[in-house]
Formats: sequence, structure tokens, C-alpha cells
Amino acid sequence: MRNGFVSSALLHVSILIVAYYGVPALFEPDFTDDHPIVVDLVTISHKTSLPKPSPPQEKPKREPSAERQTASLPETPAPVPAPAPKRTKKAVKDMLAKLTPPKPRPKPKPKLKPKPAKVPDPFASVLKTVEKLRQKETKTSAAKLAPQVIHAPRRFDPSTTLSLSEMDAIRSQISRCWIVPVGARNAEDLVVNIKVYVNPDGTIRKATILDRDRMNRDAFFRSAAESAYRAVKNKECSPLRLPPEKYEYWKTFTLSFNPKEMLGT
Amino acid sequence: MIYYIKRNEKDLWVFVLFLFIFVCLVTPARAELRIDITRGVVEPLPIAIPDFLGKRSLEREVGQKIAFVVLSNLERSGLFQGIDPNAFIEKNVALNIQPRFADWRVIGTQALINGGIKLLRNGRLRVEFRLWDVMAEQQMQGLAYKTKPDNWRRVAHKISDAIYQRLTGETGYFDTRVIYIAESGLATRRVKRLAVMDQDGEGHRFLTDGETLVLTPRFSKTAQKIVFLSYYLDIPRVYLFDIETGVQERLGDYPGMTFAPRFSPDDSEVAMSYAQNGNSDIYIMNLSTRSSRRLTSNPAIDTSPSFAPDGKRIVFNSDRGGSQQLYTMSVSGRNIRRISFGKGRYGTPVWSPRGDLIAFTKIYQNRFFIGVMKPDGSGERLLTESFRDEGPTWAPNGRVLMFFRQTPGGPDGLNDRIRLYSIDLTGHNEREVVTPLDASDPAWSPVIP
Repeated sequence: MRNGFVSSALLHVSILIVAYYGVPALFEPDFTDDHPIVVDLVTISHKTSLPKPSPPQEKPKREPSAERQTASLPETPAPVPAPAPKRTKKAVKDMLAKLTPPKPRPKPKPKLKPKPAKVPDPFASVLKTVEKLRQKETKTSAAKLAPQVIHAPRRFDPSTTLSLSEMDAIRSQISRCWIVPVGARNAEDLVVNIKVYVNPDGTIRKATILDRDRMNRDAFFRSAAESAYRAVKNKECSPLRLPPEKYEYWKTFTLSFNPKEMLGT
Repeated sequence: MIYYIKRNEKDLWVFVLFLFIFVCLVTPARAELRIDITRGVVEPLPIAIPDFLGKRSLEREVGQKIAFVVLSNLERSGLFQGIDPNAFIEKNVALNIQPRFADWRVIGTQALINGGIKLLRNGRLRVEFRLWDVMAEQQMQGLAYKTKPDNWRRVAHKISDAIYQRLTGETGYFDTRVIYIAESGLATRRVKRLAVMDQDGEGHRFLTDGETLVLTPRFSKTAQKIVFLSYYLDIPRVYLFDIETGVQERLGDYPGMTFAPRFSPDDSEVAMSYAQNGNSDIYIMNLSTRSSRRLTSNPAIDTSPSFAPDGKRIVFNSDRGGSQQLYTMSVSGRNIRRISFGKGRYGTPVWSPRGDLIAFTKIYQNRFFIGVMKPDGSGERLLTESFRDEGPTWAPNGRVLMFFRQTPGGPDGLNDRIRLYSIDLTGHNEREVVTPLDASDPAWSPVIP
């Protein structure tokens, strides 16, 4: 009786432990090659943050492209370099237009730092503040500005095998279709998670809003969730541009829509 | 414990076997891919509203008008963008059939509203509508209203409110009215009349004849009564006016001047300023007993009281600190705290109906601004700026502000234009509210019950 009780208790405890800590990933595929990740890290800078450091240099066009070629030599397939020059040129033009007056500066790193901090400034908040707008004379609407720069928190997570640039690509794709609920009360708390099931061709087979409970009791959350859902379902932002060879890793994933950064809070 | 395990090796083996099977069966836990979307676009939601259908000409006519008013309301909010009816592929969307979503997606629609009108035997109209999520291919809402045919505009506002609420989570503000001071005549001999209209400028009417100068009208919670300042017999006093009955009465009989009145959230009290011997302080008058109590006693000018929606605190402006700034206090007059610390002067504070913000007028370097800040004074944002912007009033859902703006018409100031404007809380979507004459001192009503 007592023994049975002890072993039963042990069993329960061990199940609880397994449930809490998870089963050890004994069969996780072994990724030994770190180099592709390094290469990808270089590529991401072309896709997103590159334009910021480059414009102040006198003739930035060539430098980045040379850099990219060397960087992409190991594995990048042909299509990658092709669109890139367009992007860089356009981005460089944009950035020159924006940044030339304030800083035609040389290289040193400490000086580059303030720039990334400065560039997001117009987008730091979509909530208009007259004072800020007065300082800048640009009267561009947030509607046009918002989709241009996609600044995601750059965390390197080794457990995902999608590179940062690939994740950035999805981000930019989806965020074009996401109409942010800016004026809602406590909009910064309206973080919506949507689980997405994707077909091999990148089209979305199914999308499920997580936290349906909150949807039923919070009208603000419901409308925020629905606006995120519309973004996922919008055919204009589909199919997702994802590497087919990594289908295993992106056949299901979670999109987390978080307006906090846009509200500047 | 170990002792028992040793003694019961059999149990232990069963346990180990069980664990092994468990580990083998369960797929290895792997952190799921998660992508944060932290940027989106801020643009109006594309919405399509085909004319509401009907069989008879009266039904079709009303259907057309309702669709138009609903679309105008939603577009004016700045959150929605109507799609040109010429682009519609599916021309008539019958009520009881699911729309062809693909046809609507092609033209960029995200939300679709279709409706139908039926004239009932008793002469009333039955107006029904459905709101569809075109992307998710599902109905979001369906409602029906019965009304007299000449009340169709009110139904259109109700439908707008329902759609707005369903899509934004916020209560709508279309079935509301605005009371304001209509101004006419020369700048030297200005005629000021109380006027009331629907929030879209329709149903305009004057409430006073212009004989007496009137200022600062404020709605009660039921939108039935207003308090305002009138110079009747050239003595500025606060008056209470019933819109439906037309009865007007003076609030209190003080030797000095009373001004800047505002209802408490439950309509039981009115807060106002009372000036005597050059000093003005804030008082609260109970409307049923007509007794009043003094909240501030300071040699400075304390005025423009406005209640928090919970009725526990009051925001007002005072020059006790040397310049005109905003302060909050409890309804007992205690815990007075200064909340505005920016450059310039602050006035006409109004607590938002949703409680999260206080709107105000700011004057800095001879420019006027309408801004908002949190009740603790943090997060100040200025939404508008001009030669003269003043007198903000909140839409009942606390998302939109209305104010009046004076635009200079010449050096002598005789041809200045004074009009009402509305602006979204985000600082975008500034629009002029159409009024027949010059207009100032707007007050937005609560949603009409």
C-alpha cells in the first residue's frame, strides 16, 4: 500500500517535472556549420540596417556591393545579389535625401551609433506631436513612413534555423498588411499572437489567434486580434518568401503582433 | 525514500520503462519559431458600403441615403476609407447570401457592409445590415432596426456606431450632438447664440435668440440639459437650460460672477468658478439641494474645473504658481497637485471620458496648441497648433477632440474666421466641422440614449 503510494507519487512528480522542464531534445539535428549564420548576419545588414552607415561615406554605392559579393560567395544563390543593388540604390537615395543635411561625417563608430538612434526618430511614435514635427519640417504622414523601415529586435536565437534576414523578410512582408490599432486604449498591451500553418509554397493554410479567451472578454483585444488576422490572411502579403529547403522549420510558427514600438511607449 | 525504491525494484523498473516510452513517443521539444511584428502601417481600413437594397422606390431611396451617411461618418473618423462604388464587381449584395469575397478582395476591400430596407405594414421601416470580414470570409455583425421612415438618419448613425465599435473595440460617437456658440455680426458687435446640431453638422438649430451674450455651454450626461454662462442683464452668471422643455434657470444667487460650469459625471452636481473681489475659486453646487461648497481658497485665479469620469478628482487651472498651470485635486478640495510643467501657459483642461488623458489648451510664444497629457502630467503631446486653437471637448469615446480655431483674416482682426475642428487622438485627421456661421466653444454630447 505504502510502496504503491510512494511509486505513484514518484511517477506523478516525474511527470510534473517532465511537463515543466520539457523532454530533453535528444534528437535535435546537429548543426555543426556555423559559417552560414555568419554570412547571413552580413546579409541582413544589406537588407535592413545597411543604408544607415553607408550614406555619409562619399560614394557608398560600390562599397556595399563589393562587400556583399564577398560575403555571399560561400553559398548565396544568384537571385540574392540581383535585387540587392536596386534596394541599396533606392535606400541610399532615400537615406541621402533624409540624412545629407545633418551629417556628412567620416567613419568612426561612436559617431555612427547616434545615427541609428536618430533615424527611427520620425517613426518612434505614430502619435503626432506638434513640437517634434516643428523641429523636423517634414510633413510626411505616418502612413507612408511606417512601412519603409522595419526595425525588429535583433536577437540571435540558435534554436531557429531561419536566418535573421529571412525572418526580417517575413516581418517586412506581413507588416505591410498590418493596420496598427494606434488610438486604442492601452494599445501597447494589445499584443496578438497568431499561430500560422504554412504550405510548402509559402501560402498560409491556416491561422489561429491564440488567447481566444481574451478575445471574448476584451473588445479592444478582439479588434486588435482581428486586424492582425486580416494582415495574415491578406493575399497581398502572401505567399511568404521563405527558403523551401527549410520548410521543416517554418511550416508552423507564431507571429507576434506588438504595436508597442510604434506607439513610442 | 531511496529505501522504498530499493525495496520495490519492480515498481522502479515500471517507472523507468514508462519514462523511456514517454521520451520515445514524444517528439523532441524544440523552441517554436516565433516572429515579432513590431511595425505596421497606419492607414484607414478599406471599407465598401454598397447602397442598402430594397424593392420599392422609398426603400431604395432610404437605402441609398443610409449607406451614404454611414460611409461619411466612418470616413470622417479617419479610420476607414470608402471604396469607390464604380470599382464594385459584385453590384448588388443581397442580405441573405454570402458575398463573393474574392470579388471584394480583388478591389482591396477589407470590410464589407451590405444591408436591406423593408417597409412594414404599419408604415415603419425595417433596416438590416451585415458587416463582413472579407479577409477572414466571415460575418462580424448583423443587426436590424425598426423606425419611422423620417428617422432614417438616426438609424444611419446607430449603424455607424455599431460598425465602428465592432471594428475598433471602442464605442462609437456618431449618434451624438454638439452644442456650440454661433457667432455672427461685426467683431465689435458680436451676436452670440447657443446652437445645437448632430455631430455631422445636420439638424442644426439655434437655442437662444442672440439678445444676450452666452459662453461655454456644457452637456449633461443625458444630453438633455446644458449649463452655460449668460450675460443676462449684463451680469455674468451660470444658467441651467433644458433643451427639450426650453426652461432656463439661474444656478445660485451670488453677489459676484459665476462662470466655467461643468456637470459632474452623474449629473448631480455642477462645478464652477465664483469670482468675488478679484479672486476666483472653485465651488461645487449640488443640483437637488442647491447647496454649494467651496473647494479652493487661494488668492490666485482658480477656474475651469472638470471632473474625472469616476467623479473622484477634478482638474482645473490656476495661476497660484506664478503662471497659469494645470492642477488636480480630490472632490473635497484636498491633495492639490500641479501636473503641467512644460513651457508656456496651460488652460481649459478637460478630463477624457475614458479617464486616461486630460486635454488642454497651451499658449506658448504667442501660439496656441491643443494637447493631451496623462492625469499625472506625464506623456504630454501637442496635437494641433495655430494662431488660436482653444476649448477642447472630447467625443464620448475619448478618441476624438473638437475645438475651435480662429484664423486671422486681416490686420484689424475684423475678418477673422472662427470655426470648429475635430482631430483624432493620434494627432492625425484634422477636419473642419461644417457650421453655417462662425462657431466657438463646442461641447460634445454623450451618446444619446
